[in-house]
Amino acid sequence: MLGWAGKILRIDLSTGKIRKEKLAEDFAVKYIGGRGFNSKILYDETGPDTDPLSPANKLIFGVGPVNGTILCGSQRITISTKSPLSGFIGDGNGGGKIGADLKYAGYDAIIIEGKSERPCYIFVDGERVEIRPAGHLWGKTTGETRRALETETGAADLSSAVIGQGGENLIKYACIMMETGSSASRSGIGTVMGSKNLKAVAVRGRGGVKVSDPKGLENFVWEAYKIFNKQPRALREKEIGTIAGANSYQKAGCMPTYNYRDGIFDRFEQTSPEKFRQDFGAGIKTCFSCGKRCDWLFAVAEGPFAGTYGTGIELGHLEHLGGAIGCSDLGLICHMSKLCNEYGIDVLDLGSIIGFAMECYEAGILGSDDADGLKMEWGNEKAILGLTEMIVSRKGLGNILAEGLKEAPRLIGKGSEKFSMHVKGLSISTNDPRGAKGRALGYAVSSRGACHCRGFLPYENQDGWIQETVDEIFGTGHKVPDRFSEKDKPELLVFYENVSSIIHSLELCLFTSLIPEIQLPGNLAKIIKLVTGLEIEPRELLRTGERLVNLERAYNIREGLTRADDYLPERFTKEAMKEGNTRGQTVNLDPMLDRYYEVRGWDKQNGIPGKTKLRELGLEDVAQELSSMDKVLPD
Amino acid sequence: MEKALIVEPGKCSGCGICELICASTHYNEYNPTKAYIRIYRNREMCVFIPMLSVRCDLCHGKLMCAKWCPEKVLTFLPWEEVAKRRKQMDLGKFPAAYFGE
Repeated sequence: MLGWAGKILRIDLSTGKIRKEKLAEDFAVKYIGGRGFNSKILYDETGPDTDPLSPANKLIFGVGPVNGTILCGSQRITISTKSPLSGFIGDGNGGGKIGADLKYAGYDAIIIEGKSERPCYIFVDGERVEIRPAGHLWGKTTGETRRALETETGAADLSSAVIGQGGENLIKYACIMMETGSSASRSGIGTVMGSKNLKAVAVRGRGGVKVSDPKGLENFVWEAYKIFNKQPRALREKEIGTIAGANSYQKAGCMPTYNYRDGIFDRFEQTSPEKFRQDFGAGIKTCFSCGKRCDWLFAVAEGPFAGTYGTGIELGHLEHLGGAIGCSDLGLICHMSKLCNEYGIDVLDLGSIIGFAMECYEAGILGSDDADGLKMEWGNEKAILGLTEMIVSRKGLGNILAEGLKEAPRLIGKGSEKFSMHVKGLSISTNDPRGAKGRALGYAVSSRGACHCRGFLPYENQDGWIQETVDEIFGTGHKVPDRFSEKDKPELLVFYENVSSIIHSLELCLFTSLIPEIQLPGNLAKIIKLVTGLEIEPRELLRTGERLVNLERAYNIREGLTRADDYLPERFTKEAMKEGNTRGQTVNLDPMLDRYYEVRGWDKQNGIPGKTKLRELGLEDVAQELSSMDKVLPD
Repeated sequence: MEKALIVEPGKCSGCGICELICASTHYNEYNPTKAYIRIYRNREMCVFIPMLSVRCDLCHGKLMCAKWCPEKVLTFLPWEEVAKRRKQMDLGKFPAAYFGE
């Protein structure tokens, strides 16, 4: 098999047993790789009886057939598990170089099970795989750990996936850090890693990847770069970073502000992307194999946060550490971003829980007495820093907030739930749902919770829809719906979720797939042919993406998911946006949800995949299992 | 070798495309450890220094790494041309990049 490495590593931390399993070709073709592999393995090996923080849960690192090649942005990795945050399927996706290095080391996936008696790390060094003691690393930040691992292994360009105190202390939204600023963040994957006493997975890959048609692939990539080098969005991201998107959201009036209450930030100029890059940009950086580039080094030379540096400041950071918590201090935003990376906690969920606490404080539900005297006013520096420390060390109110956006309001009570912006426990992010109805629906139905990646619909309120995508679904010349329209959005979302499933399984970066020349199924099929030599008809490939969405849905149905879990906080469905260009909007979710279920071939009641749909997708065994559990499957 | 590789590491993003295209050109495999050009890194401070193996043969004039570099970091010049410019070249001051095994 070309493209794929052909081996899956299985490591049992309870027994120390390390096994190498052959990658079956039909499994590879049916699930492609990355998120596809991970979700299928989770479906087979975990279930309703699996406590997410028990040794029985699995933590799976998956890469795709394109990893390690010259394809632009072909080094992503997906890390999946049963989420302690949602109780449903969960994952995080990250960049850097580890996706390529795992492939160069000779593996398509690592399945980690059990729990180590003492803190440990795994060193994957090609054929040699070791579980090593990590007692001396426990308690260290991710950066300290990463540097210690480099010194200890002596490996050139060591790739590593590391947890910090966040994962160690089982903060429910702990993340996993790859490089200085590359993270796989959502769903509490870092929490599961901490529960296994696993401090890091270090990878040195000295092998390579052979593809079916290298010249063809190189021509394809050359043409893609020609397009990126002319595309305004790509050029903006190169010059300023993904934070450039904030301008569009502010202009569109759906910029996350004051815990998603408002859509325009009154102090936006103080945190403008241009100012940010100008004041603190000190160098450039990109993920391995990516010539499109969006990352940069920030280094603070003056002021109270002088000496802070790092990478990986994304749009979500500017939002969730900025306007969403009322903060307009760029130095503080840099510092908080670095802190989240060093402690290993998801910036999006942390920002949202701080915003939640601040709104509770404003409403009188929480007082400074509840938080060791902290005045939890919007943008208050002491409160932001203080709450972060309390959460990471699980002290006082921090111990409650560490439980996440679903559980913390339940523990606090007093009607605080209405200030918690989450779906299935995962924070809403990047885009106020009222400003883009397709993405709103996407947050409600996505398998891991409010996911901004699965239902990416990237052009909904930025550069505008791609006519090609609309033509593909509705036929040539169909009118492109505007962002407020709820019509056509279910169909567009279904298509996009299927496509993003393919992209996630290939482990291509979403940001380097945002052109029709890559993201349309015919072109994704072309990529697969160039890399693996396999001829997959575009319609069949789209079905592969659809299969993954249905499999993850079935996983969640098995866990007890109902229509009630596919919701949006009432802020978005009942509170009309007051100012800005999204003024007056709310999301009318139910009709969109009805139509989404219908287009998907799922039942109207609870969105359970029908027998016909599952059979069509080669998931008869899933249909049988759900039936035997008394889940009523429609036809 | 009739030409020298001039590098401007301040422009290097560390993408490694030069490594990939080099290995592909010589070995038909995407494998940075087989490439004749390697990026040495200081990841903390985003310092990326391309270095050349003594085995580099300019891929028989194709100069693939320079052609593919998305940041225009790499230029090949005849030695005499380099000599004329060498006096003006300030080798700079920056955090050291690392090598490993």
